[in-house]
Amino acid sequence: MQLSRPPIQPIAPAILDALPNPPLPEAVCPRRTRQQLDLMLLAIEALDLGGAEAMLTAAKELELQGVIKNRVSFWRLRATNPLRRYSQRRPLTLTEAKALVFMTCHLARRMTVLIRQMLLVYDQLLEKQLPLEQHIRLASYLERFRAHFRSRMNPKRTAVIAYNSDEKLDQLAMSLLGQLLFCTGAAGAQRYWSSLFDGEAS
Amino acid sequence: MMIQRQYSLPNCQLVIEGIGQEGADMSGRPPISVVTHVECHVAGHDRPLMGGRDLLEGLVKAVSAYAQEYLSGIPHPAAHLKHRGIPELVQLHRIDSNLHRLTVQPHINNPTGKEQEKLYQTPATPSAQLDLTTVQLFDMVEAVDQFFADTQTLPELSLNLTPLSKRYAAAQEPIAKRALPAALGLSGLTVAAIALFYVPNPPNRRPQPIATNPALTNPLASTTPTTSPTSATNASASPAASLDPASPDSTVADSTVVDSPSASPATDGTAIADPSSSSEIDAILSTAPEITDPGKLDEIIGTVQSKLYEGWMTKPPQSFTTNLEYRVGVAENGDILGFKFANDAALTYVKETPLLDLRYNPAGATPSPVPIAQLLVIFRPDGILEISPWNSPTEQPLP
Repeated sequence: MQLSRPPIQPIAPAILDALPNPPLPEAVCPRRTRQQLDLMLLAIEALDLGGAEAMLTAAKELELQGVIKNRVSFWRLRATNPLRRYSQRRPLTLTEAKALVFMTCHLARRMTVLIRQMLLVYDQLLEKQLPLEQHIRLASYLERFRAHFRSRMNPKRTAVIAYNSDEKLDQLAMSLLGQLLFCTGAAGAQRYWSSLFDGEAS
Repeated sequence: MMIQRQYSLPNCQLVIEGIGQEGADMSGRPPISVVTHVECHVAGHDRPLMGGRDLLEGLVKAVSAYAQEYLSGIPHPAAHLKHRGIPELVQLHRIDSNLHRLTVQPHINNPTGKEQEKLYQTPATPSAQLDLTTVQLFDMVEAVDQFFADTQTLPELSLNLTPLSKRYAAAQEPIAKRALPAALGLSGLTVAAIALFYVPNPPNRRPQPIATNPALTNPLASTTPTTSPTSATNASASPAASLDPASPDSTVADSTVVDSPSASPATDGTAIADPSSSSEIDAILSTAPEITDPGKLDEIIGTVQSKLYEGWMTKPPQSFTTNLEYRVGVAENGDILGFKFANDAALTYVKETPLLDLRYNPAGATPSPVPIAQLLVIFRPDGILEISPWNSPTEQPLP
């Protein structure tokens, strides 16, 4: 006889308690938080060819399967980004957001060398006033980021229309890359987490 | 006893000298409780920042706050100004997308004025100023964080992060800019109200019964006389899918008897949209110009993946245990024009996939061949969707 299964409660791993719950009017993530979480992951995907796979592996390594069960549930979390083409009208809980923060920092830390190197190259190219396409690795990151952004974000959104040129998207990609570097630090997760709620706390 | 602590990163070195607490355990790593000298070296800048505890406190406060500002994009007052407009001893400002200016003010409202002379080795310069790149800034933040984490050096100073409250975010934009959307909305409403005032009321029309079209209803009745309750609900929920002879039941029949006569009510549509005849699909797949540009393919895969995931989520939990593989033809805008079963399970369980609901029906469209992308779509029993270009099925998909 088959028993009716009780609804599965997401199990919050202990690791998530390291991040304090911010003082918010409601215990769900504000719009800017959801947007930033997804864009940072988008930047990781553009950095790493196997980024999407690595993210699911990272969820397992960090024992976050209670929150991020599979590719679909992961996609649903990311699609709470209001800029997405197929944006999900569901709230993103603080537990889910913490899981995404840890995943981002975990993956960014693995790519610390690459991120640093690309930021240094960026500085050099700007200094010499050379086009960013000069550096193959940097150019391919920017190109992939632009492609990802354009294919997944809703072009009718005002915030997306603002990124209507390659230059503006490149700037976004570079600032995300810099922010990813800050996630690699000793207090990276805490800093990133706190910054997600800047200007939102009550 | 003099103790020195160093926090070294590739571009930044923070050196703190101080005296240990009297009576504390001097074995191992004694805690520093009084700071006598602080140095902060930054690569590429010859002169280090030098000072005492004031500099250290100002530095860690400003650097920590500015790191948060960099991450969130919302200005942190602690990185710039004290209350009442007095500048902080150490300030950080963004001067370019990749450059950050660190400034140390010469004057502090601090009674220990004698230390002032020691603070800045060159009293001639009004203030020390360093331009840091993002990587240098990060190394400085990292040195500060290591200092914060070190419980044996000034344990009373530790990382303390609190997100900024709403009023700081609101202060970012001038009131005129914030009021603009509301003003635009109000004036828009006024204009619309005035315009609509002059529009006559539409005549009250009774809904006419829709003339029954035998061509639309007959094929369903003839090809699927034993429609099960589930497919009946499917049919009513998505009339577009049910009008097509490729409703799941008939697809099974059609794939065995290619070009069966029952499969022709949709002849007005393009052949692409009609997956009933596998030979037609073959023809499309072989004749339509194929999209091979990797960038475009990536884009299309992203769109299709979002669509399929969304559709898949509305379906009941899947019962299949093997991968369902489909060869799918997709237009440039992401519309699914047609698909073929690539394995047997794909045929049996097609109703559990969203493909039938999402297939684009170009009613009355011209049959001109549009460029299509051919994709391999695999629905996996563990809820994962894999999409890759048909011609290079090894590439990994993105979520």
